[in-house]
Amino acid sequence: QQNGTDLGRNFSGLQLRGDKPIAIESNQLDVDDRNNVATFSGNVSVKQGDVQLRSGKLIVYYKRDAKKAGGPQTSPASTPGALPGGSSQIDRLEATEKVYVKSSNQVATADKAQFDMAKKLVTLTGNVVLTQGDNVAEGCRLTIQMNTGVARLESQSCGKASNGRVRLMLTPGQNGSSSGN
Amino acid sequence: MSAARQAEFKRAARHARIVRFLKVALPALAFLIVIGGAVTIWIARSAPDNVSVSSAAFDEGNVVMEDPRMSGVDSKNRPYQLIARRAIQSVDGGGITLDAIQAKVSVSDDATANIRAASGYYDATIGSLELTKGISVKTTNGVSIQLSGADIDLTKGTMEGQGPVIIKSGSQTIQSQTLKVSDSGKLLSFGGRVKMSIEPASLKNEASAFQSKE
Repeated sequence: QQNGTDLGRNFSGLQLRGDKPIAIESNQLDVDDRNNVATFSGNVSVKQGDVQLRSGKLIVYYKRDAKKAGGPQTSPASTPGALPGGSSQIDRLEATEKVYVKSSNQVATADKAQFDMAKKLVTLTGNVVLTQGDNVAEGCRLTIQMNTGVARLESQSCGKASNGRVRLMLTPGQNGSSSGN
Repeated sequence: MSAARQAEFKRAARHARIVRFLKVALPALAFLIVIGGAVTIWIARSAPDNVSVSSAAFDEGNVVMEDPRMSGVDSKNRPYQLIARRAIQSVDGGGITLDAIQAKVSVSDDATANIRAASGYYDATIGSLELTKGISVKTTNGVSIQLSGADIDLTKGTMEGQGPVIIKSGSQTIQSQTLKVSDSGKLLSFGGRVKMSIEPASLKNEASAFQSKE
């Protein structure tokens, strides 16, 4: 019987789903269309379904769809580029300044989160704290596979800063089977 | 502004003095939804090719022109057209007030924008155009923009839009209180709390890239 130690092994819910709208809010949005970069700044919140990302800043790197230059458009409505559909695609996202990521039952906080859309990988670094119910795990890097939700919390291999050990505090859940999903 | 554009601007200014009656430089505002979007603002700087007015009259020191029409080509040789219900210019020069402005301009090689502004004030001396009482822009590639007003600096190719700003393109919407456009549309700054929503439709192709295995 699983005793809730999938913490740090599965961060379900952090998948980009095609069926739910995404809502992004921030105080400011600066788009630099020459360098294909858009920067949301000032208590940024990104929500889709029950997944939420909050941070002080979110930088979106997008790449122009090569076919945009008049070639046959794949997407029927050749609406001008847009996040993240339209004719140009997101390359990667970088959230900094107190990153908070919440999925259905787990919360992760870190200094920085990088979303690599090509590799479909989310990497949280810097004071990573992962909580699920009363269970808390700390480390210095958390990688999450966006399509499966499989997560890996590391401590040894990422740099000299912390003493390297994962501190995993498991409180035996009163209701015993708090396996989380 | 690049040197070539400056040289061209001087040439246009000299040419403009030939057009005695009415010289309105035409702004083209079309913003495609932001992130990843191609943003183009073409500001016509060359003087209009033909200008027509259905009637003109003097009225208390003002020249009042009924349905002024003006068309020409912009710096990329693409046609633009501006009509207004009325244009009023004081006899001693100065700016031109325009009512019910309608403009049709190209915003990219294959898209044009229809712009409506309830009223505007054009000041050739400082190359500025203020559009007030509501602006709406619709482009042929599916972008719609609403602003309550905009101050456009035609020489620098910049615009300060006052909100509420609402931009819709495809399945995305952006709302903000202010919008600054510079570098001929390549730099946009939305301010005063920005809300962006992306509908699932456009996520389909994005999400299909990684189906969730739940």
